[in-house]
Amino acid sequence: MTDARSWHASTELLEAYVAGDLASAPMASVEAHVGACDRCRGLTTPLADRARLQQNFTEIIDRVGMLRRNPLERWLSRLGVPERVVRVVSVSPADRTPWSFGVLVALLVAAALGGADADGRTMYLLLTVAPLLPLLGVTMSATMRSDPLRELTRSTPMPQLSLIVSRCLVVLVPAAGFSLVLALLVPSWGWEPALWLAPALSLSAGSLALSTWLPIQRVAIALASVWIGGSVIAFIGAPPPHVVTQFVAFRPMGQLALLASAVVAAWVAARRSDSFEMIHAGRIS
Amino acid sequence: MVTVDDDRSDARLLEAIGVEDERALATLYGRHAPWLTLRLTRRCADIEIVDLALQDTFVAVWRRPQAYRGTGEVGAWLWGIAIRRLIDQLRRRPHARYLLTNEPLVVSAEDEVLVGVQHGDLARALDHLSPELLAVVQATILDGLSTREAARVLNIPAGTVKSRMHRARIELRGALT
Repeated sequence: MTDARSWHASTELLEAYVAGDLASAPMASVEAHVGACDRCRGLTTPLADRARLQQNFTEIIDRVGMLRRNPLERWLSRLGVPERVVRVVSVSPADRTPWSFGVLVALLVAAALGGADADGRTMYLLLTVAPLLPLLGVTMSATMRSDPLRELTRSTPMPQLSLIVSRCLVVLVPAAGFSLVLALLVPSWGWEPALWLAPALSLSAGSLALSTWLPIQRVAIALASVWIGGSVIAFIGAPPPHVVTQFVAFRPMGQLALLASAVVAAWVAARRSDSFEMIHAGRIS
Repeated sequence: MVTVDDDRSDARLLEAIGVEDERALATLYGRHAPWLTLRLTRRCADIEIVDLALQDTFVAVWRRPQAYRGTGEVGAWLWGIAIRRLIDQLRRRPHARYLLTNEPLVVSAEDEVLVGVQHGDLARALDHLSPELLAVVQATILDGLSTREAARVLNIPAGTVKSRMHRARIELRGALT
């Protein structure tokens, strides 16, 4: 029996290994040993190409530099969000900020006007406008020609669909949380501040699904027109105190229908995800 | 750059990498990158692919140093990452191939002396396996791949990996008794 610690590879043996001159058994021996033995590992260092090692290390440091985490990333990854999604979502503040900001400002304005909004009109306007913001975000993500993330997505190839969806979720999830808090803080509103979520999901998912057939800008404009049109028609002649429930989309059945359509649309988009481009190395627009 | 004058243990270095210590990464790289490069080169002849796999390995270590559970050799853990990153790189390039021991499988007496393998029987038994069986032994036992991963790199069904492994065991056992 050879004691694992008393056996060491010689330089000649390692050279033969590097040259590929060893048969499988000695090769396996060397491999099993070198990874675990400091001394023999040291012997391999001069056998490797120094310039190449240096070059690789430089590349690693470059990539690592892009990996430094901000608080949002730490938080997302602690929640168990997959690493590649964390990267893509968090390194795109440029398109995250406007929508989060838009949704939050709209909700804050509504909160501030809460007392004055006796006839429900402010809420109605808010509920009509808020779902359009994610739709706008989806369209922007999908059409962005110069992706600031190109450098990053190069190392994490990812279907464009997941990219768009991740970016939507990072806006929708906090906004949804905020809506719920608002609903709890202003009890007289009941669940009204959350009513925009179902149409938002439905419009975003719908635009993604339809964009597998038609250009997404056209799809988004069409869906937004239908939504605004429906809202305006429902608003005309609505009795002031119950404006919100005049639009079928804000009644329970309408909400359910919207959620169902969002699920179907998401399924369609996922099934047809091949029609979205893959973002990866070499696609320079 | 690649310094090895830092005498912290590998496990300590991983802890330091956990708090974004680039120097610790440099030290770990200096210690392990050479042999990892050499060993990866024995699995894939394309230098570019090996380099990418090596980079991916250390970037992965930077991202999740806590994946090392503190048991076993850090070297073995690194190899586990490296071989999988290599396979990932190979999968993106259909023409590149996972290299198997393609040398004629003859053990010279000289080799045995060099290696000092006292289990000469085992060495001979291993070298007398058919290339198909040896490939499976290499991928699963030596490279530490799972049945499914081995099936993928060798381009054979998982069931075949299992049955070949079984046959290889029987042959090795037979040669040793």
